[in-house]
Amino acid sequence: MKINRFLIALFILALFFGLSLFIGPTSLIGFDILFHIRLPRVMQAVIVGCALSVAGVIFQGVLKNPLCDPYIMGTSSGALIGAVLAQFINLNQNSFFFYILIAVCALTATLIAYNLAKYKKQVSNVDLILAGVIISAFLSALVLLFLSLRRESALNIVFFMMGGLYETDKGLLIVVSVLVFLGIALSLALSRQLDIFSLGEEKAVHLGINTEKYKIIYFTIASLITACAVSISGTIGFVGLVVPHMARMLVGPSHFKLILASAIGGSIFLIVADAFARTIIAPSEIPVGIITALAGAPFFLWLLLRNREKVK
Amino acid sequence: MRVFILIILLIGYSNCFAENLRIISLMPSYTEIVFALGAGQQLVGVSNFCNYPETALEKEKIGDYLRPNFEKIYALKPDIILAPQWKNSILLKNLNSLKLNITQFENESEIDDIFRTIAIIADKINKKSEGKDLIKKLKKRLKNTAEKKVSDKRKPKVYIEVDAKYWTAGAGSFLSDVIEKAGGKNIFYDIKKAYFQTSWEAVIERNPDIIISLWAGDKEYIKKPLAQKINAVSNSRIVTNIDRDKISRPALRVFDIIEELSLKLNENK
Amino acid sequence: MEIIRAENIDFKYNGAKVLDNIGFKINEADFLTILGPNGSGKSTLLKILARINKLQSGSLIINGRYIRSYESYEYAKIFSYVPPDMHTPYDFSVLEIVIMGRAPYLRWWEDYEKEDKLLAYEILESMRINHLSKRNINSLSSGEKQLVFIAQALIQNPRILVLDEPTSHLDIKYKMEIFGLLNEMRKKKKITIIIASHDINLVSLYANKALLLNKGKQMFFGRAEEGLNADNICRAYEISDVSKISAMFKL
Repeated sequence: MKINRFLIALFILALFFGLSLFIGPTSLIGFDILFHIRLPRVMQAVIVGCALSVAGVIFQGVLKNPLCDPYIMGTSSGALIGAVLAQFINLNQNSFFFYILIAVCALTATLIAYNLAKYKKQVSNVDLILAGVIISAFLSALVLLFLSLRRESALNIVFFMMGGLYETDKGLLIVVSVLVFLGIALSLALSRQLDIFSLGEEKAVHLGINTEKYKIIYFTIASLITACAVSISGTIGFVGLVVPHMARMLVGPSHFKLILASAIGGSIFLIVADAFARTIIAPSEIPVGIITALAGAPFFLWLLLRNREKVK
Repeated sequence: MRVFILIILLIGYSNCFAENLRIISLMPSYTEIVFALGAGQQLVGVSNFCNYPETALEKEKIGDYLRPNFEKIYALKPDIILAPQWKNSILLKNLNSLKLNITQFENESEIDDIFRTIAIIADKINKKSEGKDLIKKLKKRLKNTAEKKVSDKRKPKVYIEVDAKYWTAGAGSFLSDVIEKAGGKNIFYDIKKAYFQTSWEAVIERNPDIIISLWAGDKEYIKKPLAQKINAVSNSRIVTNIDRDKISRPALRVFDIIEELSLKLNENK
Repeated sequence: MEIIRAENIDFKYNGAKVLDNIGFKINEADFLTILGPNGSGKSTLLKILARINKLQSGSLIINGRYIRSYESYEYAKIFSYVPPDMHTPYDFSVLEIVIMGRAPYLRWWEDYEKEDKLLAYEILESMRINHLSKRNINSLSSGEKQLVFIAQALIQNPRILVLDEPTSHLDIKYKMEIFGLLNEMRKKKKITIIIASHDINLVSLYANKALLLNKGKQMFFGRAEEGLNADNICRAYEISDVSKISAMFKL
C-alpha cells in the first residue's frame, strides 16, 4: 500500500517534469533545446525543490517548531554576504569559485549561529532559533550597508535574494545533485530518530538518544543541502516552509514518509513555479522566488484558516 | 563713442561675472559636459562618481544624486546646481529651502537627449556659443557614422549583456539607442522596457550577429550550451572591451563608442 | 534487592542550592512517593534520576552501577520517565507514539519490527486503551494522552518508572486508573515506581516509601506509613494547622 502511493507520487513528478520540458519562453522545440537548455533548468528545479523542502522538514522536526524554514540558522544571510563579497572582489558570477564562496559563507553563518547558541556542550532549541535570528539580522544589516554604499550592485544582490534557476553548467548540477541526494538519503535513514526529536529533546534523552550528536548530524545535513541549493539558485523563499506542511497534511507526521513526500512535493512546486517564471513575461524573466512567495503566502493563509475550522 | 565704450564695458563686466559662476554638478555626465564646454574650473563641487576628466577627481565631493550632502553644497555657495529629475521630491524641497538655484534635467533615454542637455547647460553657464559648436560637431560625427547605415533587414542584430544572469537592454534604454546609432539592431527591439532579465533560450531564438558584453569575456558565451547556434559565437563576433562608463553615460565619450562600434558592426561588409 | 542508592546529593542551579544532601535507598518493586511544595526540588531530583540534569555531587547507584557509567541507550532500557505534560505539535497516532519507546532497543539504522508493533498493541490492551491506537494524539483528552505516554514509557521495559505529577491535571477517573495501573505494574512486573505528586490521598494508598522535601532539604525518608502523617506533611509543606490536615486527608 505504502509503495503504491509512493510510486504514484513519483509518476506525477515525472509527468510534471516531462511536461515542463516543453514549456519555455520561446517557440523553439527540438532535441537540442530540450536537452541542453530546458533539461538542466528543470533538473535544477528538482534539486533545489528537494533540498529546500527536506531541509525545512529536518529543522521543523529537530527544533520542534512548525514555523522553521531552511534559512532559520542564518543560511540565507550568509549566502547574501557571500554574494556581496563576490561583488566586492569582482568575482565572475558564473565561475566555480562563486558557488563555492556562497556555499562556504552560508555554512559559516550557520556554524556561527550554532556556536553562539552552545552553552557548556549543549544547545537548546530556543537558543538556536534566537542565535539564527541574531546572525540573520546582523548579516542582513551588513548587506544593506553594502547596498547603500555601492548602489550599482543593488540590483544584482536583490535579484540574487529573490532567487532564480539560471544555471546551465551540467557538471555543477551533477555535483550538487549528488550532495543533495546523499543528504536526503542519510536523513531518511535517521528519520525514526527525527520522529522522536519532534516530541521534544527531553523525550529524546529519556529514550536514550544522544541528542547532541544527532543534532549536529541533522543540522549538518540540513545546512549542507540548503547551502548547495542557495549557491546555485539564490535564496528562494517559502518552499522550505510551505512544502513540509503540505506534505504533512497528505501523509502525516511520520518523518520517513514526510521526507519523501516533501522532496517530491518541493520538486513539483518549483517545477511549476519556474514554468510560470520563465514564460509569463517572456522573453523577460521573473525571479522564481517571487512566484514561490506569491503562491506560498496565500497557501499559508488557507492552511491557517483550515486549521481554525478543524479546531471548531 | 562713449555709449559704445560703455556697452563694451558692460558686456565685459557681465562676462566677468559670468566667468565666476560657481557650478555644482550632481551627475558624472553633466560634469563631463561642463568640462567639454571649457568651464571646468568653474566647477566647485562634483558627485562621488565624477571621475572624468581626471581633473574632476580633484574637485570637492558632495555626495551623489540620491544622497547629496546639503551642508557641503550650501557651504560651497554655488550659483547653479545641475541635478537630474528626482522621483523623490523631498530632496528638491530641501535644496529649495536652502534657496539654491537648481537646474533639473530629464533623464536621457536616447542620444538626441544629450544635445538637449548640452544646450541647457551651455545656456545656464553662459557658454552658449561653445555649446552650439559642440552640438554641431557631435551631430556631424553622428551623420558620418549614419552614412554607413544599411537598410533595416541587413543591419547586424546585436545582443548587449549588461550584467551576469542575462541582464540586457530593451528598446526603451539608452544603450539600445547607442546600438541603433552605431548601425545595429537590438535583438530586443520589440521590448519597450529599459532593462530586464532575459534567458539564454531567448537569445538563441533571436540569433544575434554580434554580442556586446559589458561584464564578461568571450569565453563566457562560447562555453554556454548550444552557443554555436548563434551567429555571434560561431563567427567570433563578441565585443568585450568596452568601457562601461563611456558607453552608458549620456555625455561626450559615448560618441567615440558609437564610432568604434559602427566599425565593428560593419566589419564584414 | 536494592535498586537505587542515593547519597549526599547536592545540586546547584545558577549558583543557588536547589538540593541539599539528599540520600535514600530504594528496593526493587518499591513504590516511592516524593512530596513537597512547589520549588522544593522534586522535579530537579527526578531529572537527575532521568539524567536530564547532570549529577553534580554525591553518588547515585542505579541497579548496581554508578549512574554516569551507563550509555544513553543502556540506561533507557532500565529507566523510563513520564513528564507532567507532553506538548505534541505534530499529529502522530497513538500507536506511533507508543512504538517510539522501543528506541533504546534499536540500532540507528534499524526500523521497528513486527514484534515491536505487537508489543505496543499488547501494552495498549493491558491498559485498556487499545481502541485509541489509530487516533491522533492531539485529539485525546489529557487523561488519555497521559496514559499513552505511560504506555510509551512501559514499552521500554524498564526496571524503574518515574513519573512527575502524572495526575495533577486529570479528573478522578484517570487519577484512579493511573495509580491502579502503576500498582499493577509494580506487583506483576516488579517495576519500581517513583512518583512526585500532590495527590496525598492516592499516594498514601499505594506508596510504601516516602521522601519529603522542603526547600531542597530532606525532611523525611522512610516507610510511607511513618512519613505520611499529619505532622510530617505539615512540616514539609509549612502548614500550621495540623489538625485540619489530619481531618482533610484522614491521616
